[in-house]
Amino acid sequence: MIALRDVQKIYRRGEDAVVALSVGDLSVERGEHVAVVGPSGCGKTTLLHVISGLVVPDRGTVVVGGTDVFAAGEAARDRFRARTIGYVHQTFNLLAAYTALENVALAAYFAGGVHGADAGDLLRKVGLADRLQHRPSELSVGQQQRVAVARALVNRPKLLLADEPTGNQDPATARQTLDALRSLANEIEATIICVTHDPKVAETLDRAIELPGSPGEAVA
Amino acid sequence: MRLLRLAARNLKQRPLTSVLTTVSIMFGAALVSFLWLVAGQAERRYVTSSRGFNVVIGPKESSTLDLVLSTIYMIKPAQGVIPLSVYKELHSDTKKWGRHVRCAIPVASGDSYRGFPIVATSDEWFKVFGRPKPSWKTNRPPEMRFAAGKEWDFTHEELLAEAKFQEHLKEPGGHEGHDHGHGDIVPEKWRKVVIGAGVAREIGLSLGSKIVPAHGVGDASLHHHDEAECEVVGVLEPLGTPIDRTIYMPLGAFWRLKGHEAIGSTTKNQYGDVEISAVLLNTRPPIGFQHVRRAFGRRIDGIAALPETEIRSLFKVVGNIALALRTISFVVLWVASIGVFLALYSTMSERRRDVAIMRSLGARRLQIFGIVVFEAVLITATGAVLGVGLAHAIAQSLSGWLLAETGVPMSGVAFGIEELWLILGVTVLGGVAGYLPAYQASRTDVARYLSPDR
Repeated sequence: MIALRDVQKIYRRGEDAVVALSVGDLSVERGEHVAVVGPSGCGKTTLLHVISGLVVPDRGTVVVGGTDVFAAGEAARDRFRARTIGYVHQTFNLLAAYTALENVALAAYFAGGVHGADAGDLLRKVGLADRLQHRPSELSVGQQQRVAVARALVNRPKLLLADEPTGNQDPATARQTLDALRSLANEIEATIICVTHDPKVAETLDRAIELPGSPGEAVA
Repeated sequence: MRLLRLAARNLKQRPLTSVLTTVSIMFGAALVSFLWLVAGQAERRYVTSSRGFNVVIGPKESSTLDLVLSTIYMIKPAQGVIPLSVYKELHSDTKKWGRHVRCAIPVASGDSYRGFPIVATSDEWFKVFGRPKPSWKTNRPPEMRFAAGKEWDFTHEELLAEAKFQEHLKEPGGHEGHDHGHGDIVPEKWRKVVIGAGVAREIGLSLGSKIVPAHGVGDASLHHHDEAECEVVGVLEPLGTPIDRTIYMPLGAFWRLKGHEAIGSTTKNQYGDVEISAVLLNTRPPIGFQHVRRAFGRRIDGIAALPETEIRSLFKVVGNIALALRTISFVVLWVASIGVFLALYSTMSERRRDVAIMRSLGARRLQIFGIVVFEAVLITATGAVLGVGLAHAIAQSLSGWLLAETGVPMSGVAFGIEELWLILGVTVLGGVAGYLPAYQASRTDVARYLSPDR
C-alpha cells in the first residue's frame, strides 16, 4: 500500500543544511494501523508531510496505493491528497472562522465532494450532534480533536495520517480519541500511520516503526 | 461559487478592515458615477429640452447663450426686448419666411409665481407648437397634452389687436381714459394660466386655483400684480423639460400688467412698436435654421441663437471641467484600490496558517489564489455598486435643487450602460489589487505554517 525508498529531505539555510528526514525502506500494508515513534526532531512530522505530498523530498520515491506521489505535478498531488489522505494534525488545526460542520464540509469541498460522507452524519457519529454550529473556540479540546478526526475521514480516505492525535490530552480523552479514530478507520478500511511519543498509544496499534534518532544532523 | 462564499466568510472575519476598504471604494465610485450622471444627463437633458426650438430670436444686446438660457431654460432673466414687428414678420410674411419657418411663437418673460417663471405667449404655443402636425417628421417639438383642463384662448389676431391698443397707449395722450391702477385693467378672459406638471406638483396648484403674478423673477421679485389674479385653467402632462416648471399666461394680460405697459417705456420705442422678449422658431429642414441665422446676422432688430449649438458649445467648456473632475475621481478610485491591496497584504501574515490548513486539506494553489482575489473583488464590486447607488441617491435628492438652479430635471432613477462598465472596471481593479496578496497566499510554505510552533 505505502512504500518509501531511500527518501531524504534536507532543509537549507544559506550554507547550513539540516537533514530533516532520512528513510531507507519503509512499507505499510493496506489496512495496517502503524505507529511512528522516535525522538523529537527525527523527522516524524516531516515523514507525514512527505507521504501526503506536502513536502517534496530531495531524493527517493514515495508510492501510495500504487501511485508515485511525486511523479505527477503539484495540482495532481493536491487532488491526490484531498481524495486519498485524511490528516489529523497535532494541534487540530481547525479553521477558527468556521463552525465544526463547515470545517468538516470544507475538506469534502476541496476533494470535489465525490466520495465524501455527510459532514453532519460524521460529526453526529463522533458525538458532536449538538455542536455542529459551534466554532472551535467554543469547543473543548476533546471536542476539537473529534472535529479534526471527522474532518480527516470525511472523504473516506485510504490513508489516515495522524500527528500526535492524543498529544496534551488526559489519558481518558486520549483513549476516546484513539478509539474513535480506529473504529472509524476500520469502517472504511483505511490504513493509519500515527506519529506518537506515547508508548501506550503505540502499543494499541498493530506495529511501530522507529525512526533513527540523529535529529538535525548536519550534512554540510 | 463556493470560493466566493469562502472569500465572503474571510471578509466577515475582519469586519472593520472590510467595511473601511469597501467604503473607500464606494466613495471613489460614487464620485465618478455622480460626475457621469450629472454631466451626461445634463447634456442630454439640455439638448432634449431644446427639442423643437431650432432658433430663438432675441435682443441684439443679449449674447446668444444668454438668450437660450433665458428663453428655453428660464434660468436667467431676459436680457432685453425686441419689437413685436419681428414676430409679426416671421409669423405672417410667408413669402419671405414661409419656406424656412414652420411656426413662430412670441414670448415675454420677467414675472414669476413663487419662484416659477411666468411666460406670456399666444395660444399658438399650445395649438401649433404643442400639437405638431404629423408632417413635421424632423425638428419635431414635444407634444403637449393636458392632464387637466385646457389652454386659454389668446389668438394671433387678438394679439395683433392688443398690440395696436398698446401702441395707441404709447402715443402721447394715449393713457387718457385708461386706468392702469385698477384690477379690471386686465380683462377677465385673459386672467387665466396654464401650468406645467412640476408647478402643479410642487406647489399643489390644480384647476381653479388662483395665482397672483409677482413682478420679477426669483429673489428679484418686486411687487405683486394684484390687478391680475389669474385662474389655473389647464395643467400640462410632464414633459421632462423646463416646460414642466413654467406658468403660461396670455401675452395680452402680460402687456396690461402694471409696470409692463407693452414692456418698454410708455413712449414709442425706436421701432415704433410694442415689445416682447423673444420669438421661438421651429424651422423647416434641412437648412431653415441656417437661413434664419444668416438673415438675422445682417439685421439690427434682433439676433438669432441656435439652442442646440449654444448648448453643445457650453458643454464643451463644462466638459473640460468635468474631465478634470473625472480624472481626480479616478485617482481617488485608484488610491482606494491601493487601500484594498494594502488591507489584504497586511493581513496575509496572520492568515498563512489558515492557508496552510486548507492546502493540507487538498486545496489547490489556484483555489487559494481565487479565494484571495475574490476577497478583493467582493470589496471593490460591493463598493462600486454601493457607490453607484449612492451617486444616484444623491442625484435624486438634489434633483429639486438642480432643477431650480439649472432649469433641467435630473433623475437619479435612470441608470446608464457606462455605470455597468464602471462597476465592471472597478471590480477588475479589485482583481488586480488582489493579485499580489493572492499570489503570496498561494505560495505559502505549508509545512512551515502547519507546525505547532507557529
